[in-house]
Amino acid sequence: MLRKLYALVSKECCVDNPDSPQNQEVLLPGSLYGMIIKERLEEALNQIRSQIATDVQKGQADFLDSR
Amino acid sequence: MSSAELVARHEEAEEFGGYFIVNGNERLIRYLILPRRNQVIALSRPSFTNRGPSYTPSAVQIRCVRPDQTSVTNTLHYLTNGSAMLRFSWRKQEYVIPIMLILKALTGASDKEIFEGIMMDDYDNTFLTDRVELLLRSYKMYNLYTGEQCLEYLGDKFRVVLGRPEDWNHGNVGHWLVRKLILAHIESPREKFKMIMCVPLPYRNIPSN
Repeated sequence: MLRKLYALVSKECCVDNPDSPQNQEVLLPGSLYGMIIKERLEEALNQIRSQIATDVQKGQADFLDSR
Repeated sequence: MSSAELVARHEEAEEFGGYFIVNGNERLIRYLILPRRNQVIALSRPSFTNRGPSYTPSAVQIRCVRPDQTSVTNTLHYLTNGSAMLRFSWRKQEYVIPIMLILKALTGASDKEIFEGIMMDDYDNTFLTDRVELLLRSYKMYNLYTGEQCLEYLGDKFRVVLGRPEDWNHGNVGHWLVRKLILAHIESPREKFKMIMCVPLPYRNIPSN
């Protein structure tokens, strides 16, 4: 990447065209769903984590319960 | 289907398909396009100069795709002082890190290793030697010498924004940052290091004039 950046600055190579199909790909529906599911799961897990953290701080959580 | 078959089904003979009429409205299926994955693209945009003092319009960009198909875009900006800054975004917020800090953090490479890696025996290219020298010299002010020190420095700075578990030390946070957000399509730090310095050939585009 650095070599290409310096080549670009010294006019050894020219800019790529981001509008050309050569430099593009299609966003597939599955990838899009995956992104959303990943984000939601992360949110849910973080909520659970912070819930447990507040319980521990309040002294409501008992990790030594033999149940 | 052939034209005859299309006509037999009351479609136009030259029909491409791909659009539908739903309740009298014309509906079109259209794909969203993204920059091609794992490919370095050279860009020149006047808006890059607005990022701060000494930023230039030149940059190279890569959209890295992780195995789970989520992506991070890394942009390497050229600065007027000859060095480069790597930009990435995390939770809709953008961050920049000097490229030398990342090169050192990835493998703890020596200055010589970095110099040789970027030059690739092209010692007659004085433009390049000057830039690499500047890059190495400007890094001295950080007083970070080993890879682990760099990771701890990064971890210390990014600890709050990344939201990692509190019991991780700075080194762990730094390591996570480099693994997940810098060239996320590559797993091995050594390979990332190589990718930042150069790109597998052929990277040259022949100027059009």
